[in-house]
Amino acid sequence: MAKQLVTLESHRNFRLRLVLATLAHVPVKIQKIRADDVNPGLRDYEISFLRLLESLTNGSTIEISYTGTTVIYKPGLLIGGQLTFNCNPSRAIGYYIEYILLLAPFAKNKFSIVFKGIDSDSHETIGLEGVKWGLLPIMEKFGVRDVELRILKRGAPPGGGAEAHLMVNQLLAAPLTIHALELPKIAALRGVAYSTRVSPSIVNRIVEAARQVFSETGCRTDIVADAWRGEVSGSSPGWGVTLVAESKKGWRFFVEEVGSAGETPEDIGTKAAYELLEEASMSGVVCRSQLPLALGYMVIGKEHIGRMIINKQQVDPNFIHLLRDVKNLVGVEAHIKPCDDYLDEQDVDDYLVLMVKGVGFTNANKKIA
Amino acid sequence: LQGVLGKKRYDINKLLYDDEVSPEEAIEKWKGEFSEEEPESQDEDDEEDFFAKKETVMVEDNIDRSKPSFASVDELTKKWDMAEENFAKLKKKYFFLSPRER
Repeated sequence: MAKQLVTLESHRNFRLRLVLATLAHVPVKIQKIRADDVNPGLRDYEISFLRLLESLTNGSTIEISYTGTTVIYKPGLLIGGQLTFNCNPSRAIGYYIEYILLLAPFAKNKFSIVFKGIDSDSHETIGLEGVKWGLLPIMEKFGVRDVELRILKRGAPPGGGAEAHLMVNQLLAAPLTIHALELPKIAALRGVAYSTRVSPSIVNRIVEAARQVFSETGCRTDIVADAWRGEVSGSSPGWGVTLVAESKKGWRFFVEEVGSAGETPEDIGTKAAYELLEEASMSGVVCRSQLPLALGYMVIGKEHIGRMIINKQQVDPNFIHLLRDVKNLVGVEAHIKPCDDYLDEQDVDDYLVLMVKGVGFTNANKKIA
Repeated sequence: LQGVLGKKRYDINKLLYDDEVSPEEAIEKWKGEFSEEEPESQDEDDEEDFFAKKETVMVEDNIDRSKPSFASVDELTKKWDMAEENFAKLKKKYFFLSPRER
């Protein structure tokens, strides 16, 4: 009962498309990948991600055209299990982990993957701390509670040397249907500033700068300094910060900044702190970096309608691209409604309710009762 | 849910999955920034297309990224440091206030 091949274009949402195809068991053909680019075709890290999918599944076939601009992916069974994966160093480990989180609870065996590579980069990839603080809590909301990301070694680009162990000790038949119809109230501003192979004073300077910005909020602020040294700190110097706005109910907005040449730790701390305020003002119950994962979990839920408050500003072209990809692969359409039934009058103009009916997905692996 | 008054109103739900409308256009229409009289000079268009294409090539690599983009630090600083009202609004909406400020 082979399902019909879905044809998509460009490398937009590359990882999400492949992951949804795997879950929905749909063969997918992605064409025109960077067809107009000077250097056309798939990038190293995208091929690396395909390899990761290949090693997590059984019976997948991947065909890449001669020019690299077309990929045909026929997903096999999702197996999971124990694995060590060497990530291509042109993207941080977070690039590979991010959407694997959507697959993890539905495999045959529990996920236990050691990722090796670099821990954060400046390519708008979510870093290890971002995954830990920002994405795992989203999974928790959908019923995946026993999941842990342990950072064993750090490694800044270009040398790398980071190691992170992702353990998802829970298998689900289907994720929970969420009804997130209350705006989160931020109870604490938290975060971590980390560094490898530089003076430990740098992390303290980041923390100090961020704290200064947050002082005006009157909110509890708790930013940890985490300086790594010795063998576990990789082979290159680097530093960065992840800041999180945490609500009592477990929603977390997060932003990340990585230090690059010419920036002082104070710059980074201040920048990240302002970005967190900005992101909070643009968020519903999830922030923009969490939206794709949250939507993914809503889509593959049971056949009930899940509801989630989103900010009007989150409805942007990327979001529509995302929804269209979801429809093409899984066949689920989302619906957006005004939120006057749920929120106070003063907030009605700024927020909407996203309603998604789950596709009625069930985990094909029968290990769980 | 509809666009700004005075212009043609669009239902976002119709735009979401309308393959005739590009996502970028859909957002513009929904927000009421879309002007119908856009294709003014056809002959200039070709030239613009030529330039636009180059531009997309440069931007394109950003379309599979995971983090949102932000305004520059200066703009953010201006928004959050100088403008009291922005801060007050955010505070009121999102933050649990400490007993001192309540």
